[in-house]
Formats: sequence, C-alpha cells, structure tokens
Amino acid sequence: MSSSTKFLTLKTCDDKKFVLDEAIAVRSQTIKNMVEDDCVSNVIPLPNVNSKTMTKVIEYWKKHSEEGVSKDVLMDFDKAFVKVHHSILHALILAANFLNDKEILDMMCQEVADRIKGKTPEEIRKEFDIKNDFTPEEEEEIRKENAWAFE
Amino acid sequence: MASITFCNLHSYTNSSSTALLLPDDILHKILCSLNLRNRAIASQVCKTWHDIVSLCNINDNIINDNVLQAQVSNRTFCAYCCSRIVHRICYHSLYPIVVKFASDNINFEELYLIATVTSLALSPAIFQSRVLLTVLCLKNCKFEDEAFDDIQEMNLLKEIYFVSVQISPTNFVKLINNCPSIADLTLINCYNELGVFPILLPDLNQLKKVHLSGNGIGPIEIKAQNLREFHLLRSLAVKLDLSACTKLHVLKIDCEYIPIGFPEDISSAFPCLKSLFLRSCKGLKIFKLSSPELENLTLSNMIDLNDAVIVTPNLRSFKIVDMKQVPNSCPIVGSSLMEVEIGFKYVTSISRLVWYLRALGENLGDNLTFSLTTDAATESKLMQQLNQRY
Repeated sequence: MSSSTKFLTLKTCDDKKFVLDEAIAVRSQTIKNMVEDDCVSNVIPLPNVNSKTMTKVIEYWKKHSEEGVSKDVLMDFDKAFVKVHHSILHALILAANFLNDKEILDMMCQEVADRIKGKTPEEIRKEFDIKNDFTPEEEEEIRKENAWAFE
Repeated sequence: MASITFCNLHSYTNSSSTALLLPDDILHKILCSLNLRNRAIASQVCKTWHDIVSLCNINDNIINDNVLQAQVSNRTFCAYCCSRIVHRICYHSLYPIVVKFASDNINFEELYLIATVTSLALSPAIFQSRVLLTVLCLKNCKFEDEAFDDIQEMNLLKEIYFVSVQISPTNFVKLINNCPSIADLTLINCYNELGVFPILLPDLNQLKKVHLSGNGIGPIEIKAQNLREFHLLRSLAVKLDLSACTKLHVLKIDCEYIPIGFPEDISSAFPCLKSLFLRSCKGLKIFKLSSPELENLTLSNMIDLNDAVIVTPNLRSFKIVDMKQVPNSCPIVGSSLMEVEIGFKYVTSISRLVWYLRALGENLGDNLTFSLTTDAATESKLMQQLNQRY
C-alpha cells in the first residue's frame, strides 16, 4: 500500500470503533458521499449498525477488495456468507440499506427470496418468526383467492 | 464536522424480537422478485406481506423497463406484468413481447399468463426457442391454429396448467408430443371450436398426475404407465380408458355419470390404488373393490349404487356421504380403520334405513360419525326406532 492510504474510523451504535482503509470503506455509498462532501473529520458514526453486523460487512468488503481472488473463491465465500440465521440476515439487510451498499443488499434480498420459494405460508412464518395476524375468515378468503398456487 | 440527521431509519436496537421486520421498500423488492405462484403463497403469510404483494402486482401495471429487466434477470416471467403490458402495448397479441425477448436472447423458465379481461391469442413465437421452459400456466388464452407449427421439443417442461384455454385437438397432440418430461398435466375448462376435446396421452414415462375438469372433455385415453394420480371432475359421460395405468395410487371421479368403460372390478384394474373418491357416478350399480393397498375410500351421493363388494383390510378412512341408500353387502375392513363417516340425504323409508345401517355398520368399529339430512318428523320417528334397535 502506498503511503497516501487514508484510514477512516467508523463508530457503531454500541460505541465500537473500526479503523478501515478509506478505499474499502467507500464501498458504502453513504460513507463515500460523506467523504466526497468532505464532512468527515475523524470518526464516522453509524447509529443504525451494531458492531457484530459491522464485522460481517467489513469481512465481506475486505474479501471482495482482495487482489487476485478467483471468482470461484468469491462465490464460495458469498454462499457461506448468506448461510446465517435470519436475524443476522435481517441485520445485514438493514445495515446494507443504511450504508447503501447495493451489492450486499441485493445478495441478501436474493437469499430471503430463495428461502421463501417452495415453502408453504406456515413454513415461511416459521422460517422468519412471523406472526400470523389474519383472522380465520380472512385467511380462508385469501386462501381461496390463491388456491391455484397450491393445485 | 457537519451535522447529519438520520430520519425514519429502522433502529436495530430491538434485539429481543427475531422476527423478520424489514422496511416496506425492501420487502417490496424481495416479494416482487418472486414469481406469481410464490407471490400468491407469500401473500398468505401475514397482513403486511399480503398488502405488499398486492402492491407488487399493482405496480407491475405501470411497468417500466427496469422492472421488466429485474424480472427477466431472475429468469422467471410473471403473468401479471406480461398480461398488463399486453393491455398497454398490444391488445390482442403477445407477439411484440415475445419477439422482444427473442431478440434479447432471453429465455424464461416459468411462464404464467393470466389474461383476466380479454382472451389472449398466442402466436407461434411463444414456443420458438422456449426449450428452457419448466412450467407453463395459462388462463383465458387461445392458441392460434399455427401456434405449434415450428414447435421444438421442450425437454424440461414438467408442469402444464391450462385454465379456460382454447386449443385445437391437433395442436394439443403436437404440444404433448413435444413435452417428453411432462409430469403434471392440469386441464380445467379447456375447449376448442369443434366441440369435444379428446384427450389422448401416449406413454409418457414421467407423467405422474393428470387432472381434467370441465364438460368440454371428449374421449380420454391415457397410456402413461407410471401415472400415479388421476382426477376427473364435472365431465359429461365420456369414454375413459385408463387400462394402461396400472400403477395408479389416487383416483377421483367426481362426475354426474360414470365414465363409459369404467371397470366394475376396480381393484383388478388398479391394484396399487391407495385412495378412491367417487361422487354421483350415475350408472354405476355395482363395483368390486378387493384391495389390501386401499387406505382412503369416499363414496358420495351415488344414486344408482346397489351393491359394492368392499374388502379392504388396510382401510384407514371410510366415508360414505350424501347417500340415499348404501350398498347391501357389509364392507370387510381391518383394524387400521381410524375414521368412519356415514351421511344420509333424502331418506324416506325408516325401516330400510335401519336395515342398511345394520348391514353396513356391523363391523365398522367405534369411530363412527353419523349424519342425516331429512325433515324433522321423519327424524324423530327415526331416532325412536334407532334407539329401540341399538
């Protein structure tokens, strides 16, 4: 790395600090905008991201910024990266949304979609801990409306 | 440092709840990426999802190239978008869209077309280079006569659902002959201009399930030896030949008249049968069912049935409902029987009813539900007599 490497300090909502190469941190459009608008002095606060989630995001950024990593290795990395409990998936989506990192956001959304596919409504609720808030009558009506999907 | 205010952001502090509570715009993005069938299922998860799916479907109405691109990049194609564009761009033909896809070298794997307002005419282009198609679901569509002239073999096509589709018998044969992997065929209210719609299916190795419904159906002959499930609903008295389907597991005949050629000796014709449902089936006076495999048997409103030899040692559920009379012979069942339901309708002769019940109920065990639809006077007399005799 050249001597001109700039480092940024990111501070998560639980007051943990991450020191990161600016070239990597600007994968986040949000951070990039701040840097370009020159509104970064020393510490960038990330009030919507906790340290655990930020660690995952940085892990992804670093892997995808490494030089000479083959496509296959990256694909395997991505595959393993999304195989997490849905609460982490959820946190990563919110973080990616806040940081405005389209790459991570798209990948995570695709993973959620993949987990929905081929399941019954009940299985989907179980997978994501979603409460069924329909009344039995409403449920019956919607079920009728969509009966063709179960044929 | 300049001050930055973050508004309306979801906070990630509520770690006690593990439920997936995503901002609406992200959930919208996810649910929109699903195909129509998965969207329909997702809409039943909870109120929020239901509303967002409705929104997805409405938004596709004002579809722009970005949405189209997104759908296409997922290699699925959604009926809503498609039918909506048709309404906007070209009212009666799907041709421009299919040509657009062809020129972009786009193949879709699942095609759902649900034309709700007007019938869509499907031109030949739709089946050109559609070799990657796995699911074909069409509603209210019409195939043009030359639609299958240049059809290529669709090796991957596994499921066909046609609802109110107009297709000529010649074209149907052409289509089926080019789908060697078809596993699931559903035809509901399909028709052609000539009147009856004969269904002749060759020995398709993969064919597992056939569901036919509607009174336009003509003679049916299925030569698929591996067929597991066959349903025939709301059809007129048609000629039915299932003699090749010896591996049938599930048979459902819900027709006013029994199909012509239906075997009296059901168990010999279908030795693997596990589940049998017969409704109405006028003309069927007697049948024989002697099967160690059968687990579920339902007879409903069978007006003409006089007698049935039922020897089913492994029967688990036995339902005989909406009947005027019951078979004379007592069914022989085994200890697996878990559930018995007997229901009568329009009973006039009480003594005969009691007699039926004695004959039928003799060895059906304790788990018996009994219901009766009749007028009140008959009922009270009946209950008296029943109490006396049991």
